[in-house]
Amino acid sequence: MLRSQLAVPKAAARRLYSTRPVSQSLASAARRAPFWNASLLAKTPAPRLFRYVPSRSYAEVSNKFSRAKPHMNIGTIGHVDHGKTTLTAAITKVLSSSGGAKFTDYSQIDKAPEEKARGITINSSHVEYETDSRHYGHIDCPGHADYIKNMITGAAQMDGAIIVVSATDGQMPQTREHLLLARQVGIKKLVVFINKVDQISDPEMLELVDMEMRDLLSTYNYDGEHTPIVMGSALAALEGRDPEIGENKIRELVKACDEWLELPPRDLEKPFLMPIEDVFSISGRGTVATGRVERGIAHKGDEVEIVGLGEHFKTTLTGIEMFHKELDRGEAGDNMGALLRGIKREQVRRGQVIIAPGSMKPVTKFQAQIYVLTKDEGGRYTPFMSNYRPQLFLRTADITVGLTWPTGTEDAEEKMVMPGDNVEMVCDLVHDVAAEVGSRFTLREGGKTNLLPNVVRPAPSFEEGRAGHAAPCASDERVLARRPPGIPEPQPDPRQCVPAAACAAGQYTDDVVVRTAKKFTEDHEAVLYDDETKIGTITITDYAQKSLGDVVFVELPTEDADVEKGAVIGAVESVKAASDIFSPLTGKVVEINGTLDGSPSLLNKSPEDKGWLCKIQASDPAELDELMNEEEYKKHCEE
Amino acid sequence: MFRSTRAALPALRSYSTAAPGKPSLTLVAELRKLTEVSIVKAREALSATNNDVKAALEWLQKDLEVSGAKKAAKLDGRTAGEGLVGVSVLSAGTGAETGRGGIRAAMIELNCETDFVARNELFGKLVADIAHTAAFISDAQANADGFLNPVPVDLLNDAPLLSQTPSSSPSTATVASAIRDHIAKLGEKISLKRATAIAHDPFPSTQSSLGLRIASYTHGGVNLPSQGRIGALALLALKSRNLSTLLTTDAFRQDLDKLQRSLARQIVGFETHSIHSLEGAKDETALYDQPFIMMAGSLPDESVRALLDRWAIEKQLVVGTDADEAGGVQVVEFTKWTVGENSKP
Repeated sequence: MLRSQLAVPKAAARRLYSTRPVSQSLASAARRAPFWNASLLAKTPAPRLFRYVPSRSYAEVSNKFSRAKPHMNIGTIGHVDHGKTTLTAAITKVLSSSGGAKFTDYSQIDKAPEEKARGITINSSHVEYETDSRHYGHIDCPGHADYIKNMITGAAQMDGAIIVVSATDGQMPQTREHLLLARQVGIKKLVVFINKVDQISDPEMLELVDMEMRDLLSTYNYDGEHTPIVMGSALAALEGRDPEIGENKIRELVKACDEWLELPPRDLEKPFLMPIEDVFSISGRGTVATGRVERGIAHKGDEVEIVGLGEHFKTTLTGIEMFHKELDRGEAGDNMGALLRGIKREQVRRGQVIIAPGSMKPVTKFQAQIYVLTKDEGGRYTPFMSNYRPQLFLRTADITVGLTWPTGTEDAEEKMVMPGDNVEMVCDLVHDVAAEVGSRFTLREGGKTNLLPNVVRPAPSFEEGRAGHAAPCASDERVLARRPPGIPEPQPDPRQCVPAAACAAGQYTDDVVVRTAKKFTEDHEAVLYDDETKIGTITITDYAQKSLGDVVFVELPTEDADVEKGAVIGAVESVKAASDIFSPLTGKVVEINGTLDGSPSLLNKSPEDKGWLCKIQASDPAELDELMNEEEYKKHCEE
Repeated sequence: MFRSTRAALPALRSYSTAAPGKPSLTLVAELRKLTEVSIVKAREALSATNNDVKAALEWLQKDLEVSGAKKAAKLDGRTAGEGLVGVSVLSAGTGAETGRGGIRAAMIELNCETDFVARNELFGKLVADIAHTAAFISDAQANADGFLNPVPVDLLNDAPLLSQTPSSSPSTATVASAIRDHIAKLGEKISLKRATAIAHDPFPSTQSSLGLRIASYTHGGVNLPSQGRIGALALLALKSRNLSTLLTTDAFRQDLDKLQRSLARQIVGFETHSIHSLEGAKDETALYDQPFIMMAGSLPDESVRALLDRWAIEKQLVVGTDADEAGGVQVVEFTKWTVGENSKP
């Protein structure tokens, strides 16, 4: 079309075009918008400009949180009188002298009575400090049930812990419970602080505390031999006296934390994972799955695996798009569209995940730790028993699940779960889903709207973790949702295996000419061509759309007509200009977009939104090679 | 004395490098294993007794009374909102396997400061022992308002602690002194909040158509099934001309046990404040109006009352149609406690 000159001056059109990406990318941050629209003109990968930065309006400008250092959440666990609060205050005091913290006094750490009364037991953002190499968030762990609940619901997480023991008392009977908690929540390494050493005159007694502590650590499967044990006096550090047991020891403790406690892997370092939120079929391109990348990085051309809901196959990531721009890589936090090679739309569904191959397995049965919200928290108000069947929501998946007690549970028939309980139960899913140790999910009652009762976190299965009586979850492996023995690996349905096999067999490799692409004519028509069906979808280009403005009339081609390349197949009239439309291909018109008769302005939209003119079955696909590609077309427009 | 102990413990000699009078590490460790006292205390005991473990144990026993009391006084101002509800059933009633037909049971709440301590075995054992004591010392009170009667905390505190697992050496401790010992060991405020007990003699043979059963359930415990964060004791009454015959069959006894357990779970699991709702009103906190979902085999939406009636007929408690003679089963009384709640016993 548009062989007759467009009415709008080129310069103006160009300006329009060039401002488009920015304004549009912001608008399209709503990720439901189709990702794979026609604006592939910008070939260069767009810089990743837009990242969501949470801003806290109450933070002073000078107090900007720096991400320069890796962050870790650390907790203090210990007996009520052994000086956890004093130690926390002492750490902030000592580190504040080197600028790594803001001194937080007892009174500020010990929560206000009204906070306690409101049941706020863990305030994880209360205290923070920075060492030379790390940034720590510090939480206090007041009780077992409180912490477990906060952990399961995701409100608080300890990546490492300092066990505080007073030198005067030594370990106490409940120190066992402290270590059990640390074990249960998956803390792999601890640092021990022996407090109040100034109250012990005999150094041999300190040796005994040390010895007993190492014994106990080993009993609970911690590295008793190598765990750093620091002896000092938090009070001395806080009062600024006796630096050899005060300040110096606090520095030693912090150093031990830096060196001994392992940083949790950062999201970017983990294997790629993107839960699929939506799937589009873009004619001429293929199938695009959209979603928000949970972790890791994927590059264009990477092999990926699609897992879940009965499917399990590999494919190649042939393209990544964000904000209508093509990218070379997508990373944690990105809302991206992933173009999947040789995959049909029906094979991919919301609820599946795209992962780095082999990084996760589909599971249908696993053991999980579950906290049941109370009525006040918005949960159930009645108990439930074994065989309760709520819906499980894991990322974008929504699956019916049956909850039962682990084998060997006493009175499993009659055992009940009450709101407020945290329990370990076996989850039996009706479909498989990709999950691993530590995956978090929620359970809701099906068919009701006022739900949100339970929040869950898989825990190691008994078979894996119950080594000895001491360690309920002694698994160090991060493979959590492991299938208990006896449950076979889910066998991929043979039907669903086909694409994977085809991929692996190289059916879609590069030595086959693939014209699944978008081509342009000099006259501003565009073709989205699908090599599989040999059908090209005809649209007008973005440049033409911009230049024309609102389309007010479209003359459609005749259906079933045979057309020659270059022949007039239709016409378009806008508020600014009118033009014929020429066929870019020789072939047969197999379908026309009848909706344009009633609402011609649809032609201004992208093909997915009915913005196409007609579909032509090409009689000679080789003709496509004569057309311009994006880059050539862009150049053509600028001329 | 010193010499003889050394002879009795030859293995320790090689470790003991300290001069007499200064306690050796090994002995302190040994003493701590035996008693779970603090390091400072263990050392003090050994110093005072010249490194004699046996004497040190005695010294500690005496000292615990003093230091435990001191520690208890020091911690007195603190809040103890965690802990356990413990139940002890010595005799479960007519035809039950435990006991000789009478009823004897108790429920207590013992508080501490953190659930770390509440989860500890030492604490759990103390709860079991105190519940056992409460069940043991309560008298059959004929003239009281109901069957379940609160046991005055002072009375229970002064009672000798009767351990659930009788040890070879009879202990002279009272409940209060046992609590003080545990305060010294665990370093937290521990207090007995409330206790309730029920005691009823078996019915004489002239009243063989009557029966009483005690049902109990605790929820949320870690170590022992008889203790948890929520507990309930409930009294069931059975009446039937057939009762004595029925109770001889295993099937009936099992069914009755199952019904009892379900009722106790229902009381604990649901928000239950009373047995009957007020006349005409339908109240979900009244046991009889609740859907009996804790009973396997209940019909959908079947209330507790409806199920009890159906059960009585199905199990042939009801014979004939004469109103005076009509038998049945009902819940007479119950008590339900949650750890840390404010209400008075």
